[in-house]
Amino acid sequence: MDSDTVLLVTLWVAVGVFVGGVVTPLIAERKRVNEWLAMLAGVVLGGVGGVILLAPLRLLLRLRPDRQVTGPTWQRDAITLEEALAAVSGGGPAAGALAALRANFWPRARADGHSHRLTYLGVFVALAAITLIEVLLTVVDVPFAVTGPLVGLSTGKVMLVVLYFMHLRYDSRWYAAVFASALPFAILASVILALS
Amino acid sequence: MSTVQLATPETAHDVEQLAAEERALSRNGHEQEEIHLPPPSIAPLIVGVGGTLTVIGLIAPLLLVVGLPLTLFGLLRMAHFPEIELHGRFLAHLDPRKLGMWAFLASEIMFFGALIGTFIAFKIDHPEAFKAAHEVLSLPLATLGTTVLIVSSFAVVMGLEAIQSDDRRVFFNWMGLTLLFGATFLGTQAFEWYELMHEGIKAGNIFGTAFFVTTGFHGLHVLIGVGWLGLLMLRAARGVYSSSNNLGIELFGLYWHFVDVVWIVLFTVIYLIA
Repeated sequence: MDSDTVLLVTLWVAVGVFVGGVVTPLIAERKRVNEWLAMLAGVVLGGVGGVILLAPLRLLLRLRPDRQVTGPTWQRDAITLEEALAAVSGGGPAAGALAALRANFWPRARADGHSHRLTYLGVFVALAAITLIEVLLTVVDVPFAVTGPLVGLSTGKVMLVVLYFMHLRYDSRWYAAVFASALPFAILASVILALS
Repeated sequence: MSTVQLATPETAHDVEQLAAEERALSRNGHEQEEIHLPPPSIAPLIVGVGGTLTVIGLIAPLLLVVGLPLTLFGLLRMAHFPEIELHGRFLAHLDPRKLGMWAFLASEIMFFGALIGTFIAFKIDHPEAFKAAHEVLSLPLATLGTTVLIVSSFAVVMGLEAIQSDDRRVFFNWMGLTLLFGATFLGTQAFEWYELMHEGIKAGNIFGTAFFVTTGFHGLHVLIGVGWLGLLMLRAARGVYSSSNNLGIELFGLYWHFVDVVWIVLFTVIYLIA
């Protein structure tokens, strides 16, 4: 598996874990079950369910014909969007619309073959999912304090944007050092202000 | 004076000095190469004067009439500048413009850190005022704003990816989406402020002060970002950017993602945590 696939699978399972951890306590609320136990069960269920639900995708990937791979595997998308969509829609009128969409919004692979397109798509989906979970946590009456999870989820979102969209993960560590050097001061200022 | 001497090395001493400089250059991994400087321009001066007038115009609004058009005119002139490659000698594998951008963003962390810290401090001191205001705030509207900003961030990376493969049509589509969503975010924020003013949350309230200063400065950053993107698209339409020259897009992207990051934090602190 290349890095894009690993990332997508991890995100997929993580989303399952999140959803399981949030929804199960809600269901168990009226059943007189310890909510922490329910959450733990939900997390396990979500993780395992995520892996099980991956099986159809694996089958789909197996069914598609082998492609001619000319470059190193890490330089290629695991499966191009075109192939994924063709496998799902199987041609027909939808294919035309998809082709138009692809021509207008899916960037060509770079000349050096190195491309982050699917990574970006995965990060975007993760950001949207986390936002949804955050809003659900706020709107739905959950049986635990939400401040901690909300701060954790937001930190995750910030890390995703900074690491992937701002390329810090791929860029020189010096940029990260310059950027992060401001963090202690910002935290110090916040703490002093909050305590005063 | 020394440049004249270096340009016409007459003495043996000067020749030696030149050779030493060349050695120093090649030690840093740089060959002696031609330097392309853009022709001198008066546009930065115009922006400087116009910007100063605009800032003073915040106190004396009559100056805005002169300052704003002057700034805009200067910026549009600057949109015609060519992009130049800068070669740093210190940490030669780093790009000076990118490093400068990250340093600027670091200063922005401190700026917004202070604003958010103040917001939290006010919240701790006046929990009842913030609780009452939290009832009035519209979570759906804020969620819409958040979604729009996240989509626009995604649009910027896809646009950058497109220009890196010379895919100009896809590039313009995504960048146009970014412009549209940036403007949409400003629209939702303007609507929200209008509604809050009618609900009696004004800049004089303890919540109003914290809220309007924090979201206002963020909105100002979005507004500047939208203007910057407009200039970028003008430049791109003139064919400035390509797979071999796209640092301008990347720098804008860094700024835009940072504005997105700030909003992610603000959304949590202001709207989600009661």
